[in-house]
Amino acid sequence: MARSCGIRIGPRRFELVVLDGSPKRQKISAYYAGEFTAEESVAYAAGDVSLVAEVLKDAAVSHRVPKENVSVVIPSDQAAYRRLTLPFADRTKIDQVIKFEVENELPQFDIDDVIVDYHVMAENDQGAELLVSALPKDCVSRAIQAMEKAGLEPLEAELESSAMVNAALAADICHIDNAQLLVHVGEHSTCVAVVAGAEIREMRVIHIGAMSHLMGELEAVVKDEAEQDTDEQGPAEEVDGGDVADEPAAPGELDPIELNRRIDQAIKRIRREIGRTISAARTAQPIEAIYASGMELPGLIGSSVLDVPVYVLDCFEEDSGQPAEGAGQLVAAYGGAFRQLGGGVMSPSLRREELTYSGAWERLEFPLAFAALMLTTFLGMVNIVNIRKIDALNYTGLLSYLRNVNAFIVGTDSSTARPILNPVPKDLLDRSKVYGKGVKLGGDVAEPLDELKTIERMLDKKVLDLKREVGDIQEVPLPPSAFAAMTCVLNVLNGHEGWRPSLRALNADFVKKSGEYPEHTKIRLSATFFADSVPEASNDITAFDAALRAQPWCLEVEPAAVTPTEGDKGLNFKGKVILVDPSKLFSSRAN
Amino acid sequence: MIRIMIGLLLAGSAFLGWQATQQRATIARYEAAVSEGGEAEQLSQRILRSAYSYTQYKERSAKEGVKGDGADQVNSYVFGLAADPNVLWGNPKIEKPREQERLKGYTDYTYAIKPAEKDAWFDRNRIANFFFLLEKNSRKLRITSIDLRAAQKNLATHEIPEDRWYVDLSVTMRERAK
Repeated sequence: MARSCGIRIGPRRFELVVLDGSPKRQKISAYYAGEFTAEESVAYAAGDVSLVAEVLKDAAVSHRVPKENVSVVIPSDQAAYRRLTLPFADRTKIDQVIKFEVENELPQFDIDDVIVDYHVMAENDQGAELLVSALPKDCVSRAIQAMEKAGLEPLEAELESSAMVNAALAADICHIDNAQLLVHVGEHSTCVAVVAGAEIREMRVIHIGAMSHLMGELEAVVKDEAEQDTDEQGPAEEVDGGDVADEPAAPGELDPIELNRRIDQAIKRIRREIGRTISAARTAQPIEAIYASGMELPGLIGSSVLDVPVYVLDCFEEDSGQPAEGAGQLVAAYGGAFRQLGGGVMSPSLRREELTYSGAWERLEFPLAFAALMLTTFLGMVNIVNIRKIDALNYTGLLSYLRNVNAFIVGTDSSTARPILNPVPKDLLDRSKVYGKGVKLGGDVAEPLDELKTIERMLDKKVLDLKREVGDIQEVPLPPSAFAAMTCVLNVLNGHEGWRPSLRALNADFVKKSGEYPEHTKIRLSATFFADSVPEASNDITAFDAALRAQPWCLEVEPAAVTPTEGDKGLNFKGKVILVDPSKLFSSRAN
Repeated sequence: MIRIMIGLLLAGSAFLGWQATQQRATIARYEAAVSEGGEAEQLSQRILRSAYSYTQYKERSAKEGVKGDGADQVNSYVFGLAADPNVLWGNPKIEKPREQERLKGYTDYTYAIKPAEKDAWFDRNRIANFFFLLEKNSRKLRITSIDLRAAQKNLATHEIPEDRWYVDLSVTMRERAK
């Protein structure tokens, strides 16, 4: 059940009404009408809201006022009402131009210092007829500050005139075929609204109220304060009180006869102003009644003004929790609470400018929350679909690849085929067992594609280690082979059919890298070259040297001293030095 | 309350959106992987090739003569080959290894090998077979010194020597300097 609260903060009094229910049917769950002391009123008028806030806070606590969905109703003392006709009815355009349009109508205000609100009374294709209300910003901000300091957060602020109209229109006293005058008597002012055919037609403020004759009391307080601290304070603020305020005097200083005279004067003036309003009203229907609310004026209810009877504005449903007497003073607060429940014909908004940003955010909150919820739900579903797709690809596609690869390389229990890996490394065998039937991917079990990559890496490392082990990858350069060098030289020695060499000794030794030569082998060769004559043998040895020098692996050949053999059938040499780089043998073969 | 909810939902949406992006990338990768000629097929083929290589290298590794490091390994390797029917060198004498740094950063361990008897001689075939087997069966070891002399006494320069030879040799294993 919705709960709302309307609080009217006047210059001397305040009223609050708490409603439970809906715009169609509601019940007053709490109400209260309190009065500020003269000191509190003066402080509030001077802008110090702390004393008033304390009073409001106490009242709010004792009557369990909801802290949210609260509306503050502001008296019409300083408000001004104007009728305005615009050639368009678009609300956005009206919002943009209303201040400029009404500025000339409000010479008493600086337009930047007032809050301007409007109610569309009539509209058609040609334009709109507006009832514009204007109120100084500090009146609104002071009331809101007092509420906030009291721990209440008013969602909206409105004038007591609009609150009264909303309350009256909800009470089914305004009909299509007649007109009424609605009156709200405040402390220092009285607001009047003309309703015709159940539509608001006009509003005005009479600057005299039920407590205007007591304004002298406030001035006395101000004077006392000024006397106590003349150095710190300037002259006391003057309170505009109309005719009555022209003769300020504290009530205690007046005799009862003078006091009654002033009250009578105030009532007469109010009645006179009401009469003027009736006379000036241009309504198609006759004004059938005056409905009065707010503070009670002696002799007003039950009388008639220009033959129009005056009734109390009883806008409350029967047995809805209203007080038996004095319900009229709660009308404005009730109108504010009723409006917060979602009811009312008028929808004034004095916090419009202030709440532009927060209003936009609040309007966006629910759509944004809904959109965020939808987005989260959508993305959640996308995630679920994606996970299922990934599972399908894993279990039906990639896992088959992995199992087949494992079956080939490490074999399976059921298969008799010999695995490719021989011997099967234990680590790969253990890994393959993880991906058997009923495997659940995730956690420690890697996904098949990653597992295939891991297997490849492991196998590559094993192969690399084996390559190093068998010497396919020479991390350490081997020394030159003396055996290879010896074979090279002996191959040349045995390579010519015309030569007849005879080997006597061969010594091959490793030689370190030196100068331009890399590591190589030094061969000392002792042999005899047989021939038919010494010159022929000499030619053969020269040819042998030349053949050696022609080899790519031969670094150097040193000639050796030769001696003829017995019978001059050959030449013998000892210790012929031949430098051989066997590595060139293999590179030349490759080329 | 509703603002907290909006905040939580937006944070959740951001996380789920990021997750969805990652998942889309994974799906695209997996779909490409299982397609014909895709990553899974290529990986499988590479693994099978590596597996064949592994087995071949394992077989070759089994044939490596010198297992590991150390003089004991070289001794047993040389003795094993000396006993080969095509070599028949008996039990040659293998001296303790001589350490030398002949190439910067590496240490050469050189083992001098001599026949068991001082006057022992061998024909060319047995010598060549022994040398050949020494280098063929190990990729770690090289013959770095050979001293080959005709065994025939008082051989004149005009005479053709018999096929009897004295021979000494050295083998070297090279390792990174420690």
